[in-house]
Amino acid sequence: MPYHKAEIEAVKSRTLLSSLIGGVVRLKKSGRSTFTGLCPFHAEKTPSFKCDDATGLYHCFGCGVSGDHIDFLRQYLGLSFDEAIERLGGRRPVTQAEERRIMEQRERLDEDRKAKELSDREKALKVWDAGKQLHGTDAVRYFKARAIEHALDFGLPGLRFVPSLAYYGYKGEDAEDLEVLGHFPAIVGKIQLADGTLIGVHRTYLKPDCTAKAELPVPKRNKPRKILGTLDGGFIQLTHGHDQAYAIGEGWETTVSWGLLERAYEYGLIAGVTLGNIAGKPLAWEEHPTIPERRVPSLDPGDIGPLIELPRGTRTIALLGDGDSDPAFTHAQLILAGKRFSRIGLDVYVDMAAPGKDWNDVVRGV
Amino acid sequence: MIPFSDFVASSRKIVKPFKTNFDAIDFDSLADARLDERWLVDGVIPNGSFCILYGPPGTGKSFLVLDLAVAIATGGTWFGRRTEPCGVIMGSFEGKGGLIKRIRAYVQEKRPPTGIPLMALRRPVNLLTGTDDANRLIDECRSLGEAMTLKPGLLVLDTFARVMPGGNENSSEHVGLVIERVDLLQKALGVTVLAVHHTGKDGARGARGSSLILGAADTMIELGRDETRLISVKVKKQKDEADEGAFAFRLKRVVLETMPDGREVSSCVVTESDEVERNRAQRRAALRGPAKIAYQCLQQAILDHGQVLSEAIAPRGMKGVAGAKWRESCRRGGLLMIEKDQDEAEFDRLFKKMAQQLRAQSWIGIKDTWVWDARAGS
Repeated sequence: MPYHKAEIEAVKSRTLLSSLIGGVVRLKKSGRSTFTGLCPFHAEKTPSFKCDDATGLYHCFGCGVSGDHIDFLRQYLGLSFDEAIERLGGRRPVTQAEERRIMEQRERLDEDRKAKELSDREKALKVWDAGKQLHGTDAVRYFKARAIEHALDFGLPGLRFVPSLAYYGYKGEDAEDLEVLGHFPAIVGKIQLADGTLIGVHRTYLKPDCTAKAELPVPKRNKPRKILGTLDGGFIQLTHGHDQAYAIGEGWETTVSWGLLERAYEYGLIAGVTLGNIAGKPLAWEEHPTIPERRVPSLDPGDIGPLIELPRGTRTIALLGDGDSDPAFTHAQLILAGKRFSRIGLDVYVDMAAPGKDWNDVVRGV
Repeated sequence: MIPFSDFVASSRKIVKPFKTNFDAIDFDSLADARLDERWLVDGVIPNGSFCILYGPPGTGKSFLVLDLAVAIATGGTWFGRRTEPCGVIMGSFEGKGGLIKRIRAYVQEKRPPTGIPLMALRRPVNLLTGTDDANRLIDECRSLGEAMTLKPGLLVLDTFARVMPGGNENSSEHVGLVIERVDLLQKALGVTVLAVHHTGKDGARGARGSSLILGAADTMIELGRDETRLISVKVKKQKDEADEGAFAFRLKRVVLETMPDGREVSSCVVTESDEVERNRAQRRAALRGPAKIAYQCLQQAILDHGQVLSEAIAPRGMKGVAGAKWRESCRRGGLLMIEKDQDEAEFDRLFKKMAQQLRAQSWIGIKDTWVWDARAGS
């Protein structure tokens, strides 16, 4: 018998998502109902995995994995849907009253989420609108410090400079609420869809003199690079015009660095923000070849195309890989991405930075 | 930038590496692997190996081992061969009084620098009964290593018989256990283990005891003595190498003290010798091929440029030439016809090989940069 939505919700409501996930990775409380930790699906040094007991959802900003209780059990332990339900205590009849209550709660959460997304997107748009063209601003100093000042010649339509942008972060190790930690100059990247719609912004907060990234308190929790809004399927455009060939890297810095290094002017440059966004969601996760308790995406793309919709007319895509992340994870993600771009008929190439380096390290000769 | 299909192929090893409990390695990785050919003593004792030095009584095994140990600890040459400087831990379990005398004689005669990274263990280890002693020895070598200026690279067990108290050298079971623990020491410490071993009564049959000893050793150094008490050193077995060499030494008596009653307390030191072992010389076959050319070229070079060498280098009155002159002569004499300068390396390889061979067979003598004809006048 098929499950009713309310039945599934009732099953999930018996177990806190944080206790389920907390059984395999160490989570740290980061808000009233939210927890952060090292992502159980990919190898990382700083936590980008978040789960929320209120919404019953988890999300990793690093690899893009997301879902609920059942998704977690299916992805992490490879259980079937039925097995996952069993693991959560099994099916139990739900009274009509319970059903109504659960569904109302669910709807409320969905609405909250949608409202938050909408408001985040509006906030993102405001940030973007407040930005100025990079030329002639203090942002040039940052470009110089990173040895990429010539990248300004690319046009960088998807990047702007905001002289003073509030940073919301955590004041201390155990702070649960976000607070304004200060105002910093920031380089803002417009995360857009192929049609130009803004879906989020990527912010790189800088030191007041713009010579380096901002130094923030509790660096483990407060990163100088943040995303506002959503990024799924979006990208940051770094060159003007419609190109038949695009090179896509993770961050904008590494991507423009590759552009300077390779002088491959036939390639338009875009940044996919995260590797997970470039690869799209994996169908399944597999054991990490060398790190126990970590997962790598399965290399099977299924019949799913890429998450990112490239500008119309694109024929060739070069995937730029950084060598400074976990090699097994990076390679698996790039293979997944490559298979998906191949599926829609693109010629796919890959360029990996030397082990231990991203493309900006290569430019700077680090 | 590479096509996606190539990326997928090259990622296989990273994304889906095969699992192995037995250190499996694929062909390509083997082909790419860096050659880790390192020697404690060039061409004689490989790094991280198990080496057996054996010979009948009276062949100066312990003297030779001390000579070797100091050469390695000071990074000096040993019988003209380069050594890799490292710490040495010498298990001297036979004749404790002898050790002190040997060292005294060595210091008196050869004046090594002070503070060299060499330690002697004087209480025997038991590698036969359980692994306790082996583990204790590992811990001890590690902590001794910290007290030395160089990381230990050589562990001497003098003798093999002493580390298997109560065991039977002829029992492959007993020997097998000891070898297993030698292996443990080697792996844990990353050192070469050199065991000193007696030859059986029938010297011609090689080392005493179970053939397992022979099987386990990477290198076997055999000592033999002729009627003039010239001791020959033959490198008999290199597991992966065909490089077998021979050289010789004499034991020089050193008086340490003279007692009031006129009795002398003495010991010996090893002195290198370029003499030819007699019975070997008789058996020696005529030279052929490139070795013959190289030898003849040396004779020619000595004829053209030879000068009388100092006694510190060669036997009195011996004429010799600088190595470079000999090489030049070999180049002109057609040791290897080469057309391009790139082939110089090829030539040098052959030249070096011939030099080693001729020297090993005592046709020539080499010291410092000088070369002479060891058979001149004979």
